[in-house]
Amino acid sequence: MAKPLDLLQGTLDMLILKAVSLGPLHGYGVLLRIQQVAKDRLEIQQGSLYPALYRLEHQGLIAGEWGTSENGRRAKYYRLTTSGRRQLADETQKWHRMADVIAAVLSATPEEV
Amino acid sequence: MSAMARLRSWTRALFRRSTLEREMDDELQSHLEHRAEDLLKAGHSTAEAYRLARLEFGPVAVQKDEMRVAVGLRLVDELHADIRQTLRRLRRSPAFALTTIVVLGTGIAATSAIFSVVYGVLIQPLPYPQPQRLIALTHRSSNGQDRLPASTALYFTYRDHNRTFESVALWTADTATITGAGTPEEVRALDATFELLPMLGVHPQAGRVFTSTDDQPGSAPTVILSDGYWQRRFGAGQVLGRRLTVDGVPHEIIGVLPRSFRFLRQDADVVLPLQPNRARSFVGPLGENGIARLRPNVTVEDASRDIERMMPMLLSSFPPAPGTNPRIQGLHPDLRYLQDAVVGDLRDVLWVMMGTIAMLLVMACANVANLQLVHAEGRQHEFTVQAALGASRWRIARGMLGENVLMALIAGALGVGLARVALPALLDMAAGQVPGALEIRIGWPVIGFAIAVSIISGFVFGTAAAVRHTRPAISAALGTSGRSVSTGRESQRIRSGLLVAQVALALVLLVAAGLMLRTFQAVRSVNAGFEPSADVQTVDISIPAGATRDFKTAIRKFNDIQDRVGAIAGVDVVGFASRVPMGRTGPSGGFIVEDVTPIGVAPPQREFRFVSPGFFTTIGTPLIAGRDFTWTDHHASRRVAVISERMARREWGSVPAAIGKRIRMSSAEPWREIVGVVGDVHHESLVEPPPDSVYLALGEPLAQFMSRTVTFVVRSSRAGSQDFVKELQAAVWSVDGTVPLANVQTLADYYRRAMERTTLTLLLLGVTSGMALLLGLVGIYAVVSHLVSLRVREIGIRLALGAQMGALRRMLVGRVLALVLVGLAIGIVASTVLASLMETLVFGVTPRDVATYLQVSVLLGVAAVCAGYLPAQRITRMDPTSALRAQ
Repeated sequence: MAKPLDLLQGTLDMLILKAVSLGPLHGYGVLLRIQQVAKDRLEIQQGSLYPALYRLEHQGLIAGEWGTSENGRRAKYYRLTTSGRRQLADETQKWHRMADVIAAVLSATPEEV
Repeated sequence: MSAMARLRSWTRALFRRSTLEREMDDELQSHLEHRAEDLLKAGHSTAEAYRLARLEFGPVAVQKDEMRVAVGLRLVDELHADIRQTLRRLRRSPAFALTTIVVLGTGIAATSAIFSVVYGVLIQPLPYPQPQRLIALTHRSSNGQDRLPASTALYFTYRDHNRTFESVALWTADTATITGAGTPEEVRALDATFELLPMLGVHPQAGRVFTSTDDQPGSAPTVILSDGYWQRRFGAGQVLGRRLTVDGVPHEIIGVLPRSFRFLRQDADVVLPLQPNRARSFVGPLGENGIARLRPNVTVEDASRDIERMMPMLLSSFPPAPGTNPRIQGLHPDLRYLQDAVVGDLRDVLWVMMGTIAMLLVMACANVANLQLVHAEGRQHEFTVQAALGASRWRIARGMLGENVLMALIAGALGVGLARVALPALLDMAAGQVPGALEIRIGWPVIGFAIAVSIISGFVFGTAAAVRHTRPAISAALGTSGRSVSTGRESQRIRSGLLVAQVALALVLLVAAGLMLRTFQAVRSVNAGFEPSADVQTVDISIPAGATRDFKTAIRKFNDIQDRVGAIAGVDVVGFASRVPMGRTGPSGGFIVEDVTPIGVAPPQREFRFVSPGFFTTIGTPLIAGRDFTWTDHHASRRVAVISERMARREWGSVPAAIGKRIRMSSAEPWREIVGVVGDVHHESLVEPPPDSVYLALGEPLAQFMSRTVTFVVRSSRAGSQDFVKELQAAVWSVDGTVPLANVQTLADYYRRAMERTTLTLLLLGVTSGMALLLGLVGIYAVVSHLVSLRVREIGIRLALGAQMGALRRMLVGRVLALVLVGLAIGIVASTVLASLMETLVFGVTPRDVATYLQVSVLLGVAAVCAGYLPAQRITRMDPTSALRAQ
């Protein structure tokens, strides 16, 4: 298996928003969900997850609430807020446009130039 | 929406900090446990699972810090740390902190107190709606007299024909005699046309204000009470519809003014309708005050043009007054905003005060800055360590500045407290100078000002040290471990600069004080023309026309009162006059001089007074030629006059030549003969030349000018005592029991009030410059002693190498002297520039008086060198070996 990719700068927030958009998750759950979907192709620093969560909560994009996890532990569950949903749609669209452009540039052949 | 969310989250983080911290811990703990559980399932041992979980997670403290940053707590935390550190440091050096706070606090107190006056008088608008549209209707004549008031004729002309005013009103300050229940009393009255109160936006707290009907001559008499008088006389009871006997005539009380109402400089007890009579209005004399509210979007210039346009209408609509100067020639508008008219030349005094106080504050800052430099030098090592540990220069400087601002704010709080205490005393001293309509107090604007001044001065005095001591020179500073041969050149330069600045500022303030002292002496030495003695009792007595209609009877009563008062034990001599010198202002008229004044030319306005026999003797004004009035002159209405020496010389060349000559006020009246010449009296002001004065006997033809209120002057060694005043009262009441005594004072009081502004300015400048001198000397002393203590090692080396102590001392003192001389030079230049601001305040001395500058410079120079010599003296007690070992 190839070495996992380091996360691109600024994409962690987007991934967190996406992860919680599928249903409320606690911090560790967010980590697991991203890694599960990414099939271990992404390396996420566990520590950097929490400042990001706090930042998003501070910006009102996600909302946290204390609850009990599936194995009976206390955990803080995050869910997407309305403005978070808008932000996610926005970011996703931007990301796709960006990816298209970069892909187009990188795949350019001499004939196209 | 996002900003709101952030603010909500931030405030929650800030105010529920412990919850936030606990939740952070819980959440990270929960994460680690979840992770460890998964690792356990993957087959690790318990201990191993927890270890791995922590390892994967990374440094918890760093993450938590970033989480705090994420919710915007960084700045708060750092500030918090700064404040905590600052307080700890200040506790460690209390003497430094205390000195800083006291020096600065005193400066801020003085500045805030003066600012509260400046704000109340110059900045704060008058307490009426849209005050910028209120103007004083003052005039200027083509022969150079300005700030002339208005008249009923002008009032009617403006009211009928103006195109620029929303309303026009006329008012005069007056006194009124109240009789009826209780002792008769004389009260302050405001006579106003009906437009005045609505123009000022006054809504009575009870009843109504005047209508145009009340203001018609001959209509039923009405009166409005001030809140104060209503409380005093009626105990705040129901008064509407009741009658009050004013000047012998019952008036219906129709309203009570609101408690907050003040009218310019007047503190009236009652307001009466002025009732201007159109049929009896004449062009001139100008005796009433005009006030107008401009229409919206009309400028003062528009109004002036409008008035110029109306002047011909005045002359065509109204006749000249019988018995007065036939024509006012060339009257022009000299309009001013009401606020300016109220403030008058107090403005100059205030700005000079504000300037001097600001200079004092700058000096206090310079002193504290110096203290800071010394203090920071002692902490150089600490800063260096901080820098070595990675603190940015900005972070270190912020720590220092934060410390300064905190101290400055404490000083500011102290200052505002002190100002609150000092302000009543200040206002008490200035009571006669500050218009009553303006409210002066330590309100929010002043507190805001004090806070701003504190923060700014905190930055100002801290910057020098912050710039100097945050420069990264780590290895050098660490290497010397606080032990250096000599001080840094840079901080010496800063300190020299501060010393020069302090000397210069102190000189400016001392020069200002010196000029005021000379002014004070010059005013004191002016021969007032009367003897301002505390042995001359003065008291106002009024026999209103309402009570004693016949004028001859009134004169009879005045004569009887004078006789009775003269019979009181201990009374040397007694007299009375319509006005005493430095008392209220009164009428003037143009006197035609027989065979001198060219026919058809308007003679200059001269003020005139009615005086009784004995008045001149009582106040100590010498009779130079001719005779004094006799009672026969008064009772027989003889057409005689006494004039002042100055007028005699001006019109006839000499005093004896004036006797027997004749003057009159208009060609319509018969001549009156000059029977005496008296010495010149400064009636209005000590600093203006004495006016040409005419004194008349109380005669029927001029009764219209006579308010029937006179001031009695009684010379007695018993003047001023309560018993004496009681006997005076008894003597007056034995003639007429309805006559009140008002304004009981002595002639010395009148004189003191005339000196008040000069005295006050001198006092304030004296205190300020005294403080400045002290601050300056303390500053010099501190600089030199620090210089000596820092150079102990250098001096030790020099001594060891054979230098003479005397030479070393001379070197130090010479250095101080050089700096002081530079400071003096700068101060002299600055003074000559700033002194022009004092042009209107000084008298008998020019603002660039060489003697004052020289004396002050020498005084300051000698004091400064002494302050420098004392610490330098310590060198002589120095032992070279111990000096070499010194740190």
